[in-house]
Amino acid sequence: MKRILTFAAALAVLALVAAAPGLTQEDVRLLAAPAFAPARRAPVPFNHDQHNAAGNIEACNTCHHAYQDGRLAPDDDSVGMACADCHAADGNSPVHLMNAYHRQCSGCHEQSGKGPVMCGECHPRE
Amino acid sequence: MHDVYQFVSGPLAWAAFGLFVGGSLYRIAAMILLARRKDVQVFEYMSLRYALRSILHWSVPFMSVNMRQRPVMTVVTFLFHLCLILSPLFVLGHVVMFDTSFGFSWPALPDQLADAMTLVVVAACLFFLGRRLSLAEAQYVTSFSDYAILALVAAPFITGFLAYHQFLDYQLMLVLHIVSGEAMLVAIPFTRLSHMLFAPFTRAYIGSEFGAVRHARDW
Repeated sequence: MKRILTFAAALAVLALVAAAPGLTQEDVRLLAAPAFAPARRAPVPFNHDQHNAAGNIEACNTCHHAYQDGRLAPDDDSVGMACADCHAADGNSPVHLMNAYHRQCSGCHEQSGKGPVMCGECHPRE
Repeated sequence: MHDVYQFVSGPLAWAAFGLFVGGSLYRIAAMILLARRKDVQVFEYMSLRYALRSILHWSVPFMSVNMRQRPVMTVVTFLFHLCLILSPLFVLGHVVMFDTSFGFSWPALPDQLADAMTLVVVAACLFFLGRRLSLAEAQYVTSFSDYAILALVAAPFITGFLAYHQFLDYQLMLVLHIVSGEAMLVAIPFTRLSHMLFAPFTRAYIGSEFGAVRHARDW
């Protein structure tokens, strides 16, 4: 009985720890847009605040860009929208979802000389 | 390492593909000019029907006497060439990189299949190595460059396997994978790997001469 209780307690702690990520932006989240399912590569671990501190990113629209009539609206942002709202995963958009991520992330990393650029640096082995 | 990666996956990749395509066109053009000057009968005897007949017999496993006499070599060499050509063209990582850069993509192989095909290429290279070392008739026509070419062909597949599985130093493996792949690409027009370019012509001529002149089979 004692063993079962210990096991149950351990399970409960595990469940709490597992549920914690994703609750706040301070936590490491996995970038796993549902549109990618079933994904062929592991989702990318991403810590929003740490990323912006390391990259000296202050303006939201550096990443959360907004386009109007096919043109970048430099004073606007798209905070609160999912990338997949504009970038369809199935290729029915000028820049499909995977290219949107790859170009936005590694494109900026390459230009700035900071951050991961090789496939496996973002997509860890499962 | 990122600077190195960006160099080998950017400017060096363009240079490698340029040398591969340009070098291949140059080698074929130079060979045609040489044949015009020294072997005019190549053009006179060339026959589409006998050329295709010969190419067919040497493209289907066990359709030639030679292949039936060496069944192990036949199976290994067909699997080797199939995997060697298809896996780099259809492995997911390559398709995705192409899509990211050019916005154009095509269906990719399942990861496990591409993985198995990679191992087939490496195993076949080991088989060819053992064959060159142990068979007297192979040893007789083997020089150092043959071993170097085998290593050159195996290298991108070994490093690709290691990079995909993120075994050892991932960044180093990926850079080595790209560089060795580029080296192999550039070597195609300028080494014995040029059989990739010339084999169809060689086969076509032998088929034509045997078919139209000697009235014999060449398979």
